[in-house]
Amino acid sequence: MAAQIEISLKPETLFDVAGFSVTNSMLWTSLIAIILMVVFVFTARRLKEVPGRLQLFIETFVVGAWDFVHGIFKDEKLTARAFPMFATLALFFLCANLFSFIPGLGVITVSDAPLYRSPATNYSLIFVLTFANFIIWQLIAIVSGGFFGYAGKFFNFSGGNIMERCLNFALGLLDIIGEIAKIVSLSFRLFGNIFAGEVISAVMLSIAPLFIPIPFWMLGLLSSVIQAFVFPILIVIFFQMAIITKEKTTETAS
Amino acid sequence: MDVEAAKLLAAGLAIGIGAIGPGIGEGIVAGKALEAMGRNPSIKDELFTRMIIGMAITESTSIYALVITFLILFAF
Repeated sequence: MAAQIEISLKPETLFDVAGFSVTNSMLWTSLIAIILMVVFVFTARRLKEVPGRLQLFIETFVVGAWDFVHGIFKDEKLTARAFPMFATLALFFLCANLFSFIPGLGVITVSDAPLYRSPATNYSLIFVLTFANFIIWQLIAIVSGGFFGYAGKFFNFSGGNIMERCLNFALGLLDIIGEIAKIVSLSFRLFGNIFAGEVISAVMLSIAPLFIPIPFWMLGLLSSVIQAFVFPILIVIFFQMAIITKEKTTETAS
Repeated sequence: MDVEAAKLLAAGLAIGIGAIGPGIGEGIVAGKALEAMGRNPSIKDELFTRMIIGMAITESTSIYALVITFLILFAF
């Protein structure tokens, strides 16, 4: 039987600052954010006509992300509004998830708690990001459709006869549940994938430390990179869907 | 069977059975999308976003199973 492995959903507390407990994943969230900010500001300050390696890499990422968001919205102004959210989330989660694959980081412990924990395995962070974006896409729907257009999506009394009205009303109520379910599925998609990847590699490492964990790490690497992009892609798609539902109602109204 | 064993069994069954349907469904979504991309490569980008939406909706049931598993293992 393999040695007992510690699996906890909650990140471990490292130290307290005036009654505010700093957890290991929070520490790394801030650290990665600061590293990214420094690198990007540094590069943006000294842009060159002929790009160096770092600038070339960043330019490729930014242009690729812009083209992708533009492919979803097909509109310059909307792309400019949604692009910062998309690029920031994608870049942050890409770096955060890949940090787990730096060898030796997980070994360091501070007062019985591991120093490193991937930011994406902290459900609080994912939930806050998802909920903030949830509020944004509700606001997009309200601003683009007007308050009555927005409420009319959920309390829908339109229809030709009484049966159609009842059906539309029931479907509108189901939309409310659908919106709430989006928060759960969106946040647990990222959290579940990254957390499961870490747990499975820990379990495999405790069962057989040599060679056996390698394919599981490869799978973890694959899902880390893919999920880092799926999360912002879905958020941007939800933004776009919030606008489109509005345009449909104006079309039928006019 | 004591409660602890029943919990472990329930958690395994919840995610194990819950992942069957979405696994089949996502395979169908990806396969059909690739088929369409092969037939008409010029609409590749548009199909890709549609495919992601379809996959997200297909995947959500397995994510609910995962949530239930976490609840059984860690909350109760």
